[in-house]
Amino acid sequence: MRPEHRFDRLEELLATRGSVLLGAAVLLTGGRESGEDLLQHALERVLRHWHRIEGDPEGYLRRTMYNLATDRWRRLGRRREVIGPPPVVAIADRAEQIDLRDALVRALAHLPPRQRAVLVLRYWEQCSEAEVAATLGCSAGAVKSAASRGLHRLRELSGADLRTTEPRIPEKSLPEGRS
Amino acid sequence: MTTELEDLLRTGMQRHGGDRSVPPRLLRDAARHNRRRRTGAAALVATGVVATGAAVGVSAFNGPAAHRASTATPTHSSPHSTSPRILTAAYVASRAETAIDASNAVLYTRSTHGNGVTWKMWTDRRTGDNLGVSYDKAGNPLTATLVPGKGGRVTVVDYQTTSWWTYVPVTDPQHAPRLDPKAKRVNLDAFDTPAQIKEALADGDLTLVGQQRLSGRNTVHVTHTFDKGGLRLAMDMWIDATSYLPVRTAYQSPQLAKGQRSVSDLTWLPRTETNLAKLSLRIPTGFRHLSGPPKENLSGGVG
Repeated sequence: MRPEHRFDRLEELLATRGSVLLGAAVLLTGGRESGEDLLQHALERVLRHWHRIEGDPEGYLRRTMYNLATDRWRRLGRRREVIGPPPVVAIADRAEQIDLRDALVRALAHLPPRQRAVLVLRYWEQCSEAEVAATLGCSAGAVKSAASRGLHRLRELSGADLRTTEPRIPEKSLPEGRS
Repeated sequence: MTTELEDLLRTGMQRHGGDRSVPPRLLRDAARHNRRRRTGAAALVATGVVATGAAVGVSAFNGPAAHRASTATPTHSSPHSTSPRILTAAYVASRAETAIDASNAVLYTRSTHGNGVTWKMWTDRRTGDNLGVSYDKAGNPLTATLVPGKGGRVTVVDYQTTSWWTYVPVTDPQHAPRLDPKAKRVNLDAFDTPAQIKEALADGDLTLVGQQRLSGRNTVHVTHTFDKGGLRLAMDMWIDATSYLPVRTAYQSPQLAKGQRSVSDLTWLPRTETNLAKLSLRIPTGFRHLSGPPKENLSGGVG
């Protein structure tokens, strides 16, 4: 077997689910470039343990990526990017609603990593609370609590943003990782 | 209100996160970095061999005293050594975690603490069975505790009161039994079990110090820093450069006086009958059998 054929399953996975995973990585890190870095870092981890992974590697890759986002990524002190304007998408909608949506996504970057991960899993990947808990290795109660706090904080931040056009950065952020 | 917010967030995420194709280079780069890490490990082993040769050469030149010094204490390798440049702390941590998981050995750990108590522990990595014996400064045994890996009754022998008992540990860690208060082991927080070491490795806040010689073997020295009780603490770990199994940890616990450290030496023994026999606990003749743990010695658990 040629070496490159060893990762066929991973290539297939990226072809079919790559955009969802990269989208999650972008939302988790706050930027396209850092999102690609995060996904690549997770892929490296998967490759490192490839010989031990059986079945569908998607769950393993997803868990690795979210764990990196909430733990190591934060500790490594990666530069936080600010999400720029989204690609132009033809959506007939009220301008202020679009502004609010953008403000919510930009405000996401100011949440603690754990809350951010919970919200991305819930509202981007459409996971149930139980699935989020399984991915992040915590209880459903912790997920519920983190989601509630995250939404509350987003409401605060985006509310300020509507008046000032840029999300207000909290003067004193919550401790990282606390949810 | 929350529902509307959730809907807006969901659609906002779709606008920002949607339609992002994965660049083909991502998997290619990941595979290339992965290969480079492996090459780095091979280079480390290779340069380690060179370093060994150099150390032996110096020892031979300086006589036996120099040889003892080079094998008894960790010595920093040359700052011009090439291997640390291609190693990363994350790589070393990952290899060590994998090596610990894959090990079927009988792990023998000898830990010394600043309070003069020495612990000797044997752990069967396959079954999880664990026998720990504590000794005072004079080398007299204080206590021995045998914990079955698959649960069940824990056996404790107290050599000072010449008694022994068994109990079923409670599963709630908040009410877990605190064994051997004389040895004050629990409060010392020494890093002497694979689980503790793996936790430290997984924590990610590791710094690669460099390649060092320790007791005649090539090791990689890493430092794990973490916050506890408002203090910034550090635990040093030496990992065998070939097997990637940790061989020594050193930790300055806040429970210890300044300058005192808990040092644990780990030996990964082959899983032979002789080594497995070290996990058996023999009750000395004449020791009193208590129906449960004495109240002053143990909190938690069911006798």
